[in-house]
Amino acid sequence: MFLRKPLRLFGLSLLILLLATVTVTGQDAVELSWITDLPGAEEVAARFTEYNPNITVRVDKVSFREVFQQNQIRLGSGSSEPDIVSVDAPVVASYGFRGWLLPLDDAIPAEQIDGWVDALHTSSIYNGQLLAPPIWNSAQVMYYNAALMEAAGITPPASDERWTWEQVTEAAQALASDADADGVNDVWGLQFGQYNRIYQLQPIPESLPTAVLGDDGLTVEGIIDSDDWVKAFTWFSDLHNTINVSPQGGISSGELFRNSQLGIYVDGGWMINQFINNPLDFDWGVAPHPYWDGGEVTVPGDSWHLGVNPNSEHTEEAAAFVAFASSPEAGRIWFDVWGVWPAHEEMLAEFAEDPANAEFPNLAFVVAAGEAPYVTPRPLTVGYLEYEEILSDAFEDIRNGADVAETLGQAAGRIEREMDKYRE
Amino acid sequence: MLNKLRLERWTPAFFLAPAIILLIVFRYIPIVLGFEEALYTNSLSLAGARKFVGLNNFIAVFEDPVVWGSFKTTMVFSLVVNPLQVGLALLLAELINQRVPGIAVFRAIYLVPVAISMNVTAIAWGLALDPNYGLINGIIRTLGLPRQPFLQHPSQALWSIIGIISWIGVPYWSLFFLAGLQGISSDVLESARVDGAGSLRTFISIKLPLLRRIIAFVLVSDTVVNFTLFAPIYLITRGGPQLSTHLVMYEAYRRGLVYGDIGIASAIISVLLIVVVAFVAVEFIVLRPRH
Repeated sequence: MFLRKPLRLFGLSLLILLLATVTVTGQDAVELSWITDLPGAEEVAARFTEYNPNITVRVDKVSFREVFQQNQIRLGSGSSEPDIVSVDAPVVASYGFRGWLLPLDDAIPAEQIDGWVDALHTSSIYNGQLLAPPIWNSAQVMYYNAALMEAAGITPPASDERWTWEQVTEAAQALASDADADGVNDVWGLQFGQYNRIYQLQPIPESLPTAVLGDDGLTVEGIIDSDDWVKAFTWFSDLHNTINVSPQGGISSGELFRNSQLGIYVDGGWMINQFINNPLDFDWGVAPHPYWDGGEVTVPGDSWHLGVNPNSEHTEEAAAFVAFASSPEAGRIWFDVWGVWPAHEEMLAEFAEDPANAEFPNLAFVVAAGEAPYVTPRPLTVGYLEYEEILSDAFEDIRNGADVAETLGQAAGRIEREMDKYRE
Repeated sequence: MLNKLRLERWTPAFFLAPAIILLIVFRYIPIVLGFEEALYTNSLSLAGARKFVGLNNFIAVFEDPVVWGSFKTTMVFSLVVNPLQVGLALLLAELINQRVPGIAVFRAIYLVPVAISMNVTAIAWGLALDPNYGLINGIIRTLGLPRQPFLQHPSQALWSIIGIISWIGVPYWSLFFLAGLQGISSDVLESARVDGAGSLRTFISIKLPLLRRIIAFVLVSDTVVNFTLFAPIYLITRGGPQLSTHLVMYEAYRRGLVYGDIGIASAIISVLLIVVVAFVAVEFIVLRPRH
């Protein structure tokens, strides 16, 4: 008898739970899943839910490398999750080729598409279809430590003065010093943020100028092992091995710069916000990305893009989220949270004219945003994942003193073998 | 009576069942699925679809010099690291088995590395071995010796990895040997001593033969662990420099999770499994108990 009451209570709660589920289903409550490493993702998702109370976005935060792995393993197996796919610009083609992205031409308002910066718009298309809209914009710039430059007797570049790599090398040699003679520089001359990724190093050969991939989007032999590439990466090797202005090993370039142990630091415009919010204790400046004397100006940049999993059970809702995340309004959120500027041409113009951005340090954003016309997309190839990974091995080996021509030759052979499967 | 007999016959099966079911679900079924997956390739134009390719993935594995290289590197690595770890673990166990005051403190100190996860160990050693800012090079410089590139040079990287994983492996496996040594009856050791055997003689003629089963267990387990080593390679060297630390598991990871080629990755793992089983079989035969 005394068991009855609890039993009845249990039955009642079960009923309520069931009813609640039915009510929620009645409103078509949808939870979308999204794997990303981006700061600001939660804020963008929250704003979207404000407008669409029946749709929530579950943001699964993982590391940069894992974004690719986790998405690829799920998409490759035909899973219905994630609904929203984070796509780094250069893999739009690779994912598109594999049928992992739903065409979104009709899901994004035409005026929004027209407003994107050209390079970003180009990166979002594969085979004539819009697969992955850009959510923001970025460019690499050259940061410098003004105090170290002064001590080395160098006049830093003006904020609109683009140095050549020859000038940078000369300055780096003057900056590098080993006062205590322990064999390790106290101050390094030059370092890149992502010192072993094609994303960051592409302009070194490209600015000569020379190609980084064959016209067919697959061939690398005769290109990445060409004399031009050997010349470009011999310079890169020398930085680390002969003139010794750049450190080997895995030490973070950002940390070296922050600790006044690095004079010139080439990295993304997203560092500006970090340097403003968590101020550096020395005078610093920003200048446009360097190029080779007599060569072309090319700047790494681009954006993360978002797409929709064609196997998702909520493609319509996911497409609505992608439309929002790539809108000017979301662009504002991305900028406020971590200082990447919007993908929209019009907003960039407003940005440059905003009196609040006329003075340093906010002027730094304008310098970076001003690089947009020089941003060269990464090589458009369905085999980008293989291309990037194998080149990373090569760049790391070159930093560590391996023979440049031999290393690039081997990398070309390895990439060619991987590309074969796309040729069939 | 008959019922009771029947019940007794089924009792062991009843107790073994959970372990066997778990083994089947989490080991044998995945192995079979892995072999099956190796016969397919991901469709390159339709998400989730796959195409039967027979033994093509296995042929591709044998024809690819990078995969071949990773098998060779793994073989060299295993032939060095397993005997090294087992030998040092035995020595360490013998040392910390001595009855001297305060030995418990020493045992605790030697076992600290075991308590730290492989990932933390790998990252910490990766930093300590940095050519410019690493602790080890700091010490080497203080001693007036030239800096060493360690993980940055193909001639030293694999040895550095062997050192890093042995930092955990040696004390871990020594625990098993310590337990074995402490299980040896003091009467046996006492009579050996009375017969005039020294420590070395006792160790070789008494302790080693009595530890035979434990040595077999440790060697086999260590072999499996080291053939499938992944974390330090992923976290520190990424297979470099110049593919010198490019072990099979890392190559399989790259194929499967970076390039998205699950078929080839499964073929690599299947071949690795066969190699490991062959190695383990030889070890069991060599170290089988003599009755």
